[in-house]
Amino acid sequence: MLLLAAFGAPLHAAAPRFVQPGAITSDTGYAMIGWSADAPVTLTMLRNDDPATARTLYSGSNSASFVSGLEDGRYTLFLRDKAGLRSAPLELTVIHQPLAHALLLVAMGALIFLAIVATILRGPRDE
Amino acid sequence: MSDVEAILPAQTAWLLLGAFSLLWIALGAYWGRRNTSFEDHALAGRNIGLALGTTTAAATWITSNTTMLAPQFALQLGIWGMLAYATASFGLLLFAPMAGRIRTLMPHGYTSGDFFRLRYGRLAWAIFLLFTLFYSLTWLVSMAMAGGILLNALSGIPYAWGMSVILAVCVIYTMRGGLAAVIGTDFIQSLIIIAGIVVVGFAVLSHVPIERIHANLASERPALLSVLFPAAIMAIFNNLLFGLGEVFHNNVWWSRAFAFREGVAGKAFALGGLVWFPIPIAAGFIALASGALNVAVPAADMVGPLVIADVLGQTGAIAIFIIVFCSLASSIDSLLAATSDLVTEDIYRRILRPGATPRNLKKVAQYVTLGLGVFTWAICLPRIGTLATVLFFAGPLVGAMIWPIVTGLYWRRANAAGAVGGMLLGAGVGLACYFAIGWYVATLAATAVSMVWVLACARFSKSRFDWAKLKETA
Repeated sequence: MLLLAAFGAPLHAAAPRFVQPGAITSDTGYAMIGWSADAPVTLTMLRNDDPATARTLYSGSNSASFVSGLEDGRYTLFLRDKAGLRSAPLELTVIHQPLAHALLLVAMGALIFLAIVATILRGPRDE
Repeated sequence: MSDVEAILPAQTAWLLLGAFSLLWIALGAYWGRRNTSFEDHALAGRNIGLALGTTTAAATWITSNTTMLAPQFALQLGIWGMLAYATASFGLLLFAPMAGRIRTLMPHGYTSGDFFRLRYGRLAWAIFLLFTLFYSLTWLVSMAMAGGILLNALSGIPYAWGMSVILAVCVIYTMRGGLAAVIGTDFIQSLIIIAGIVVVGFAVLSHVPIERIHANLASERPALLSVLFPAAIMAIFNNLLFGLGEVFHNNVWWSRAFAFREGVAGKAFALGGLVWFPIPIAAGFIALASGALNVAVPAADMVGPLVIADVLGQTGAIAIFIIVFCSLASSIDSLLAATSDLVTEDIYRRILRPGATPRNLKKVAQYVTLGLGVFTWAICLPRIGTLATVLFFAGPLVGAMIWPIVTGLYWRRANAAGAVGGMLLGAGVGLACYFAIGWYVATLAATAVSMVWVLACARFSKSRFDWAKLKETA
């Protein structure tokens, strides 16, 4: 026990846990993942519960990681520390905004922009 | 951002901060030594040439947002996000022909407020002042706050000290040297920023080939490469119109149009836009390389500095510190100068003391700069959090001013009813969309509504404006 204390290891290390209170959703494909842990952790993510998709996002002492560029799907994240203690899973659901909605806004923006450009480049109309 | 460890020793950071602070103050005092009147102080004697004009346009538009938020945009929204950020250069490019027109129509003008007052009357002028002061003060406070937060994150310098030093330095040299000092320091700052970004870009490329960056993105962040990434394509025109609204209405840009020598304004803004365009792309590219370089990103807004420090080590940490300091100073000084000129010209001279002498006006402008500095410092000191979201809130306000300005400059039949209604209706609908849908449609909705109203009023207008009214002399 004394030896452990001398090396600074916590006497009763708690399992790492995510700071997010529950499952999170994103319509942009990015999310900030935060956690609290007594020791360095490894953050792993898998998609649609498929173990073949598991990949390590981060290993180290930080307490947050920013994930982005995710496609539509259900992602499950886990934390594991060096002692093998594992967090409860955190679920991240990505559903991007409707493409038709986005394209409509793009068309509207393009129209307004072109009207501004035309007005400026055409110059004074009724001098 | 609080989760990020400092990448530069505080002692080195203090030395850099001290050295650059002394440099800017000395240059401000030197360039301001011949200022005797308000015109000298506010408009640098209306004699700025092409080289200084181009660099001040580019440097002022390179804020800490460009060097820090562009990488964040790229990390969040991918290639489209990077390009969406770069579309802000269209503000400068399109302001180029407008600046030439402004200089011709208003040879004795001082501020964008002068334009609204003379072109559309007092009601439109009052609404404009309300909108622009909200936007300018929010931008100023958010920059000063970002300064403290960034210096703290990069080097561990306490927030209050970093914010106070950067603000005090900008206030001192802007008070002393006016627009001449602002434009002069902008010249040096823009060269430092551009050289820094280019060096960092090549350093990243020498560390990791582009094929590896692409392969990493394709496997781990595929949406960032997608042509049909909904959130990213929605951001393109919203960001573009926000940029147009910011440049078209704000006195930061109008004061430069008045300050540039005859025939220089158009070229200077066009070149400034071209110089600025690749900066967010280079800064964004740095963020896209983070995965291939295996750089952990605990906070999206710190991805740029983290990658640079990883690639260039201590040298990179020093480089990013200097780049951030220069980006902040080049924007804060411009905002202080332009906002103090607006308050001095539009409120003090036009409302309170119409008979004020040029020397008296210069003194007032200096005290207003000091007052703005103290006000900003007092708001920033408690570190209430980031004001970036409040700046987005200003999007509908600036978007609603685009059409009244553009038509007011080019069409005699554009009228006050169109301008007032366009600004109020556009801002109202835009703000409603901001809360009901999201920030990414707010500016777009505001500009669209304002456009319809302004065009309808112009279409049915029987009045024809006399351009000679804009040639008011002081």
